[in-house]
Amino acid sequence: MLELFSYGDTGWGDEILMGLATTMKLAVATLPVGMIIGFLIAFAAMSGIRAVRYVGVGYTTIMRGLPEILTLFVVYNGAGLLLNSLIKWWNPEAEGTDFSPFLAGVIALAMVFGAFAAEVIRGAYNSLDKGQIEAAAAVGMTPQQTFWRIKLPQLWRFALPGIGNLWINMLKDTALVSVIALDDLMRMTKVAVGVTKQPFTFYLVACLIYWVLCVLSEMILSRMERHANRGVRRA
Amino acid sequence: MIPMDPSGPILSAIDIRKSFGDVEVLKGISLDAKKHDVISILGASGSGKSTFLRCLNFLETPTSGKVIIHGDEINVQNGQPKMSVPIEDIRKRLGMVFQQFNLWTHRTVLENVMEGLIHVRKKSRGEARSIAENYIERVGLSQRVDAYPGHLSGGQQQRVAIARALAMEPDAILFDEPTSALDPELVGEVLKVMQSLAEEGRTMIVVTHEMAFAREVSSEVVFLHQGKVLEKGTPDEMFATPKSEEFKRFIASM
Ligand SMILES: Nc1ncnc2c1ncn2[C@@H]1O[C@H](COP(=O)(O)OP(=O)(O)OP(=O)(O)O)[C@@H](O)[C@H]1O
Ligand SMILES: [Mg+2]
Repeated sequence: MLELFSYGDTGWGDEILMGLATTMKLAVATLPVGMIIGFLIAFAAMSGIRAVRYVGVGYTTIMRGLPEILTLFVVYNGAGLLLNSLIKWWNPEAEGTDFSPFLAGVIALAMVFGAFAAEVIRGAYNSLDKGQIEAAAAVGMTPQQTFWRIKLPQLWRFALPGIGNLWINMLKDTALVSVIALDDLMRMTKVAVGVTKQPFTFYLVACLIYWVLCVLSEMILSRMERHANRGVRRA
Repeated sequence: MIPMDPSGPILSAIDIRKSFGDVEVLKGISLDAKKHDVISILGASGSGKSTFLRCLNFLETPTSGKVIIHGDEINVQNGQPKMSVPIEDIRKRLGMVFQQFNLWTHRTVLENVMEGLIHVRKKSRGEARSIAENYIERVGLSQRVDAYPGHLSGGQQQRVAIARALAMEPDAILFDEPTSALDPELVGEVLKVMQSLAEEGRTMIVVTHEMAFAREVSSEVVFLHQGKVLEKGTPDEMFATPKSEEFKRFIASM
């Protein structure tokens, strides 16, 4: 039994660890991209300019209505085509390249993450205390200083629980990329099952690994929340 | 810059008008504050006291009128302000203390007071710290410099808010009902600090419902009624011989 998970040619331990590493890389790369999309969309949706506001609200509405896996296919296939036609337009002599499944995964997951993060950020922004913002203006802070020094730290506090949930969802959604031939934890597990015909063992291990990732995330998140809420009187 | 007359006002508001939609809530208010003046603004709820105070530091933009602070003039017509210096330069010369304290909840007492010193007054951290500690001591909270606002009583929070305003060394401080949100037993500690500021010669404009403060501490009382100055004068003459029926009724209701 332990042989199954040993390192090297006979066991699947190394393949599964590689898969885990890919899963982690994917999630960690998606987070910042998704947050940036989230902020851009949130501020677009709150913009004073109507056209910009429509873009922000429309983006969230559309992304929330699409199954994640469809977004992934659209990005993988569509963006690949787009990229290649751009390359062709730039230089007709050039060879077409393959769109990296990793990049497609990051983009698709970040697009979904960003749509939901935008909602979280918008909610957090609306719960900021107007009085504290006025106090910043009243001491003579510029709008930029007020944003970076007063609004953003408090926004973070209100948004953290929601963003934490999105992170955990996204961590699990990374499993979807196995369908576009990215060797993540899920795909390596399936390969191992295919070869060894031991589905129960390998799927159980995969379950355990995803579960441990989620529990670890929850622990880190609750520490971050405690830190963000320091000094706030509990009701 | 207009040359300063040392005995002239350091803050003047001239014919301030403000409408929200079709409703004109300030109907041409003028006010001069000279150095060391303590001006109490009285008036019934909805008479426009807060709106007027907020027009002085442009938290609210008047519909029309003129504000002159320390020689810098902001002229507003049709809601469009014309100013020679950025609005931040005006605001840092006018401290403001709010009814709801409005301390920054993610910053400690010390950090609340240092914030403006570092980022607006551009002081070094060390210098900001010693100035902040000095003013925190001034309001009697040296023991609590590292506390977060959420762990302080309302009276303590308001004293920190006063220290935050004082630390910027403003030309004048605006107070909007600084004791109205406090439990009755905490009002005294805040009024005591305000009284000591008045005795120090700070220029203050105070919207208040505390008649004792208006009567005993202020140098001038202004009574607003429906967006207009109905009466003004020294507290002695105002309270001894109120001229308008409205002010008589107002005093009687207090
Ligand atoms: N942002 C706003 N939009 C619309 N109307 C407003 C706004 N702010 C104030 N008002 C109206 O302007 C009038 C004056 O309000 P203001 O807050 O200045 O009164 P106040 O004298 O400070 O009263 P209080 O003693 O209750 O604080 C009120 O009728 C109020 O409803
Ligand atoms: Mg008011």
